[in-house]
Amino acid sequence: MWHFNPTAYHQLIHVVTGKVKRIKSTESDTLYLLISNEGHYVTKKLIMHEVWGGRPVSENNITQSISQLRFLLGDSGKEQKIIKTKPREGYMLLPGNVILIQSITSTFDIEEKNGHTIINIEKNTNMLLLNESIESIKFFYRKYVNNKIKNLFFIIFLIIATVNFYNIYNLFYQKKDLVDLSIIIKKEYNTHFHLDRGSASEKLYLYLKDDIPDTISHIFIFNNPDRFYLSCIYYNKTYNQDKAYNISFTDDYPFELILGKIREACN
Amino acid sequence: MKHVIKIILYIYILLSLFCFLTLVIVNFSNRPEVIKQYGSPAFYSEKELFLNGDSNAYKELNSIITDLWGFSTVQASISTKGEVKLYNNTYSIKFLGNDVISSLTLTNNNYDSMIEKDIFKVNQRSFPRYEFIKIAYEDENFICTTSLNLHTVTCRTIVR
Repeated sequence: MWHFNPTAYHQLIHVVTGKVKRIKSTESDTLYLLISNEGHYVTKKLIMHEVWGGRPVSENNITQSISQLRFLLGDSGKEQKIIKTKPREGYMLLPGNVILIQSITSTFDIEEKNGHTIINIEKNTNMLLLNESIESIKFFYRKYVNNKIKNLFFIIFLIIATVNFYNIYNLFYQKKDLVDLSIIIKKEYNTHFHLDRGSASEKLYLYLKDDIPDTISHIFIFNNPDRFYLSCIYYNKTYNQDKAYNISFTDDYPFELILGKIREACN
Repeated sequence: MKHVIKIILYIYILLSLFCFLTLVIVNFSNRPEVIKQYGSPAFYSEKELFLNGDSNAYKELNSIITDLWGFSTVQASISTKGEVKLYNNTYSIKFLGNDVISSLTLTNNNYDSMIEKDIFKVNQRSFPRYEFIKIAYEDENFICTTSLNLHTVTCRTIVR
């Protein structure tokens, strides 16, 4: 279905697809005449009178005009699903295919005189201007704003994609440079010692290994240039369950005090 | 030409989406056992820091929230032993494989700079502050993690 506005720049707008079409003035006038007599045959004589102002033109001009209109509306002389031909009589626009914009129709007055339809066009300038403005805005929206919104979404997606790339690259780049920390596990009596490969951790392990309470099932000894980190998983007799405790010392902290603290906290 | 540029940009967006989905799959398939079993468990830990002759004891409760994409956020509440609530930190974590977890601090109420000053200084050196954590030990009651950047270790009790 099409909207037809004879005063707009693009007179035809498809209701569903929004497709716009510009037609020549004679075809526009012909279509207007057909819409005004929608569902009724319009004689070639009347078309000639109304569209060409009674000038002596051949019937070929009317045929060509109708053919062009059919082409624009997606019809053909063979199908005749929108404009129907009655040989030697005229043409009829089938109802429900083209709608004349209401604001325009109100400015026309149709009367019957001596068996002819006479159309008096009273141009309401204000109404036409308003209508033209609305159509211009719609056209501008379709051509530019619509595209701008699409472009805006595209740019937003581009930004999201770039941020995503940056984050993933950053994450895996930093992970790549990381040296995997291998952990040594040593078992002394009932206790598992988990150590990093640092020599300081090894020294502390050698100091602790024979004096650790047997309630401790796991003890972790890790060291960085500043501190020792120790964690123990131990059996707590008071609560009758396993518990965990974490302790951290500066690397100059005496080993005997570390042992004392472990005995106190993980028991 | 314009058409070609547009196609390249579309491919760029699709590649980015592909990388994101790969990360989602890697993260999902490398979830630790405790998360596979309990979904969103909580962890409790106690720690004591000895610094310049002083000692400070803290309790920490970590709860894990998993979003629709399977990415997890850890909400850590740290308080002193006297139950005075001190800090609330949030970390975004991703499971990257071989028991390695990446951790990115989302909110940190100056916890590192105020309590663990030395750790904070070390962590500042690694730009942009991704911390990588390895699971050193895991059983049905405890999970012990070590920081690959800082060589710290923490054992936490699993609260189901």
